[in-house]
This record gives sequence, C-alpha cells and structure tokens, in this order.
Amino acid sequence: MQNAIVLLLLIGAGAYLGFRFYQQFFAKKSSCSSCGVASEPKTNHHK
Amino acid sequence: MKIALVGNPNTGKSSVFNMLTGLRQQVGNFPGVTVDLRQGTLSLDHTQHTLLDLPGTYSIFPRSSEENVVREVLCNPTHPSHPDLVLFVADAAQIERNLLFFSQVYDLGIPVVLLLNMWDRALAKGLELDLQKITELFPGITIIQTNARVKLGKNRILERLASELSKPTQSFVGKEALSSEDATIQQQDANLRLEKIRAAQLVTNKKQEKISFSTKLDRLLTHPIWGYGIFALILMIIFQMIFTFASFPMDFIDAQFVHLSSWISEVLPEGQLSKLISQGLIPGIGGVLVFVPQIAILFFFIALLEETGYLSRVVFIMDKLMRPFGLNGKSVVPLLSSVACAIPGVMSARTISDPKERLITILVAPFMSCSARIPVYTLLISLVIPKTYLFGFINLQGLVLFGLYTLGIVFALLTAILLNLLLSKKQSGFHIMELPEYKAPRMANVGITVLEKAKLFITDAGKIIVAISILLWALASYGPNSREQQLQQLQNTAQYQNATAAAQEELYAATALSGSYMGQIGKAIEPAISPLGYDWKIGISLLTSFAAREVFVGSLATIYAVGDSASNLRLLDRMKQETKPNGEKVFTLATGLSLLVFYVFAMQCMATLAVVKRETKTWKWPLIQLAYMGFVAYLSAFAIFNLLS
Repeated sequence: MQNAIVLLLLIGAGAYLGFRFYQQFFAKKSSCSSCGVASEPKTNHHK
Repeated sequence: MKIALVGNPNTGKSSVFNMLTGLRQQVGNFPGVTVDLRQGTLSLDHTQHTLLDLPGTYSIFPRSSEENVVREVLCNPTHPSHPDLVLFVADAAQIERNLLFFSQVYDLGIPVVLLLNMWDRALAKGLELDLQKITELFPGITIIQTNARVKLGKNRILERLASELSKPTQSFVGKEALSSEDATIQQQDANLRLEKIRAAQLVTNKKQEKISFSTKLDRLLTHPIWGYGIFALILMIIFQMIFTFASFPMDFIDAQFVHLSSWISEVLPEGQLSKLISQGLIPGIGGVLVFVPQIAILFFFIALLEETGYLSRVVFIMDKLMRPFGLNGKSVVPLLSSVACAIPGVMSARTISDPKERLITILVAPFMSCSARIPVYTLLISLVIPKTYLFGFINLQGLVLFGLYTLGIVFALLTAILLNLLLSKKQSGFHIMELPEYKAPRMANVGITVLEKAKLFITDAGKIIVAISILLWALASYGPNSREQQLQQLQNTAQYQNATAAAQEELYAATALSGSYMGQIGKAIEPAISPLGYDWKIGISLLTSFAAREVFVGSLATIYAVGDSASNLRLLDRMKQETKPNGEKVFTLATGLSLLVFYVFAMQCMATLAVVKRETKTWKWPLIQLAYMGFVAYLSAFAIFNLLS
C-alpha cells in the first residue's frame, strides 16, 4: 500500500514539474496581448 | 460590477485599495509600475464587486507601457477589465494637476467618483478647496473627502457607490482628442484642460509658502555626497537586522521540523511512504520555510522605506550614477524590484522607453540579489562565517551578506558598461519623476506587503520544492542492481563488522546513497564542479536549483537526510559534519565563499529566463544571459576556491 502511494506521489511530482516547465517556456499566454491583464479573474502570479 | 481605482502616482491609491478591500486581494500578472496587478473584492449590499488597482499615471496619453495599460482599460469598452465605475483618487494638496487626468476620465463617459485623498495634508499646507466650484466645473460628480491612511471615508464611499452607476455623465472639453495618437493634438488637449481648471480658481486662501519638512529632509537625503552615504548606511542596517532579528524564529521553525520528522518516522508504520515523508518531504520543506522570517524582515524594511517616500529619493539620487553605465534613473526601479525578485524587475523595465536602455536593464537585473538567494546566502554564511562582531557592534555575518548584495550591484553595473559599449546607441532616454512628500508609514500597508510576499514565497516556491523533494528522495533511495552488490560487499568488510551499530548504520546509509541513481548522476557531473570545491551532493543541488535558487537548500536537506537517516540533526549541523572520503570537511571557508559567489552571479532561475524570453521576444538574449552569467559564476567561484584553498 505504502509503495503504491509513493509511486502515485512520484508520478504526480514528475507531472507537476513537467507542467511547470511547459507553462514557463511553451504555453500560450492567457492574458490580454496588449497589456497583460489576465482575462480571467483568477490570477496567475509569476514566481 | 467592476470598479477601477485610477489616479496620479503617489496619491494614496494603494491605501484606498487596502482600505476598501482589506486582505481580500490578489496579486496578478500585470506589467505595471509595480508590475503586479492588484485585484480585490468589495462587498456591497451582500454582493461582491471587483476592485482593480490601475497603475498611477498623469494623463490618458501614454508615455510608457504601463500608462498604455490604463488607456487600454479605460478607453476600450470591450477590454475584459473595462470598469463600470471609476474611483478617481486625487491628492487634495495637488488638486489642479490631478484634475487634468480626472477631466479626461470624466469625458470618457464612465461614471466616476472623485476621492479627495490626503485631505489632512491640504489643510496642513493651508490650502482651502472650493468644492462647489469643482462640482460646477464637472456637473453631476460626487466628491468624497478621504484620508485612506487612517481609513477615513470608507463608509462614505461604500454608501455612494451603487447610486453612482445610474448618474448621467456630461462633457468637460469633449473626448475627441483622447483617442488621438498625434502628440500635438494631445498637448493641445492637455493645455486646454489645464487652462480651464486653473481659470476656475479652485484653490483659495493659500498661506505663505514655507520651506516644508520634506524639502528640508530632501536637502540631506538627496545630497550629492551624504545622500549616497545615508543610503548605504540604511542598507547595511537592514542586513544587520536580517541576521539579528531572524535567528530566534528561524531556530524555532528549524527545531519544529526536526521534531516533526522524528515524530512521523515513529508514528507511521515502517515503509517507503514513511521514509519519503520523514527523509524527503519534511526536510525539504522545512529547509526552505525556515527562511521565511528573513524574507519577511527584508520586505518589512523595503515596504517601510517605500511607505515613507524614501525609495523615490533613492531613484532620484541614483539617476546620476546610472548614466555612465548606459542606464537611466528609471532603471533603478527594475533593479530595486529585482532585489525582491528578478521577474517583476525584468517586467517593470517596460517603463523605460529607450529600447537599448531597456534591454541593458533586463540583462543586468538578475545580477541583483533576489529574495530566493537569501536562503542560500544565509545558510552558507551561517556555515562558514563566524558569528563575531567587528568593533563590538557590526555583525560579521551581516557584513558578508551586505558584501554579497554589493557584489551583485557592482557586477550589474560593470555588465551594463560592457553592454553599453557593445550595443548600438539609438536614442537618449530621460527621466521625469515626482518626489512625494515624506509621511509616517502606514503599518497596515507594510503588513499587507510582508504577508503578500511571504505567502508568494511559501506557495509558489513551496510547490516546486515539494515536487523536487519527492523526486530527489526517490533518486537517492533507489539505485541500480550494482548498489545491492556494493552494500553486500560492505557488510563483508572488516571495517563494517568491527564498527559499532551506529557507525554501521552510517556506513550503510553513505554507501547506499553513493550507489543510488542520484549518486550516479552526481558523480557524472562531479569532474565539472570539483575544481570549484564542490562534491557530487552539492552538484545535484546546483542542478535542481535551476528550477528556483532556494531549491538548493531544500535539495541539500533531502540529500543529507537520506544519507544520514540515523540521526535527526538540523541541516546546518549535518553540513558542518559532512566530510570527503579523505576525511576533510566539505564545507570549508573556501567552498562556502566559492558557492556564495557562484550564487551571486549564476542565472539559476528557469522562470527569469522564461520572462526574459517573453520580454525580448527572442531566445537569443536569455541564452546569452544564461551563458554569460554561468561563465562569470564558474570563473569567480573557481578563482575564490583556489585562492582560499
């Protein structure tokens, strides 16, 4: 059981880091192209 | 309903925003003066409304990117952030100048409320404003006197908001010129408005002008010699405070994580999950959270200086200094922002109109020591610099920290000179700024800034650190089949069999770590980093800290926790005990200083590279930046290590 949870956590951690990398370098912007204001009220603060 | 806070810079917009939203606010990705887009919620008659804090600007005609944002949001009704109502914050003591922009917003036809803020300052200056005349000049508007610093006027604003939406708007001079891109038409529009405002003689009963307290103080703080000396002294005091005040909460947090780790390993049934939590996650997270007090203290002082109006003086005095380096005073804002984080720093370089000066600012900003470097700096300083006092009162560790920040600044300026020579000159920029009056800091605003920054540090960096800690733990805990053979061979050696139980456990953990996947990767990169004095464990942490610099500390904490499962020591103590195979200490003064210098110069930040790529719209500059900073870091670290060894 513990091994299964560890495996899930490992997959989750790897996927999250991959997603962050993609988001940083390749994802399209979800904000207004002229001024950068997010089109959604949900914010997306940079590091 | 969307409500926008609009006004000139330094009119207390942020105070009004904080007064109306309290802590119900978020920071977004808005490339403005302070880069952050602040959005908050405002509760009115059980309905939530969005309050947007737009960057301060003197008119609707943009001179820079952030002023363009204001124009775009206000003039374009299809813009996602176009407001239903504008709260225009004006400095009551500078009403005529503030009404120029107000009249333009008024002419756009958006319902607008005029908040005469800092009313007390106008009174103190002996100014009397004729509100009747203002109402005659702008028929139909509502004027509310506020003093947001002491939360005066909040109820009056809330009471009037709903009724303002239905008010018909009229024209001041018309909105035809507002959409014009022609500089002459824009100038004519501004002149016409100012003439009309001045002709109305809104300000009466002016007292005899006296030399204000601000002017007297400015004579000292912006003095061509004393100004710089005082600034350097203030910085030095801040760095001293970071070490002096943070030690108690840091020790406390550190101890709690050590206890938590030990408690988890006792409570959970033995297995991989228990090990992952106690040796991977908790040391990784704790290793970084322990630095929150220092980050909070740094931001407390930065916010305090900003609140008092002193930071504007810093920008002013630095303008002269910046010129020989191919920069101008406006570069100081991005560079100072980079002390917090290079990303808002790089983004706020949009305020610089000259492309060359903007590019130079973007390229040198990451040399400024950001808050993510604090955990690395303070850990290594605590490790290799003795806690002694020079002349009985100057903390040596604080002095070294000050020196690292200075080193970053010096190198940023030297690089700027180099780039200024290499890049072709197109046009010369100029810098116009207003020095706000000095005022007592509003502690609520300081508190909100500190909370905001600490929260961002914990949540944003925290998620990456958790993910990396999990992966590092796995890489350090598992290994190829050859590791099992190594462990069996170890158990057959006389050294192992003759050792005590504790020593056996230590030997076993060290061999297991060395043979793990992480050990293999680390040893593969060891030849490249050993000339700098680093072993493979430091090498692994250097690699992972490319995600974010503070990950270096979390990674070391995880690696040492796996390699030393027998004891529950603090990271600092583990690092002090760490030895090479020949018995020498890993973290000597030479290694420590070499690592410190490496982190001053190296571009160890994936997010900054991404933002530089976005801002320069090419991969060329971030790659040049990565290579140049990496080269400088490697060379300096190599030189320091070999000089001190």
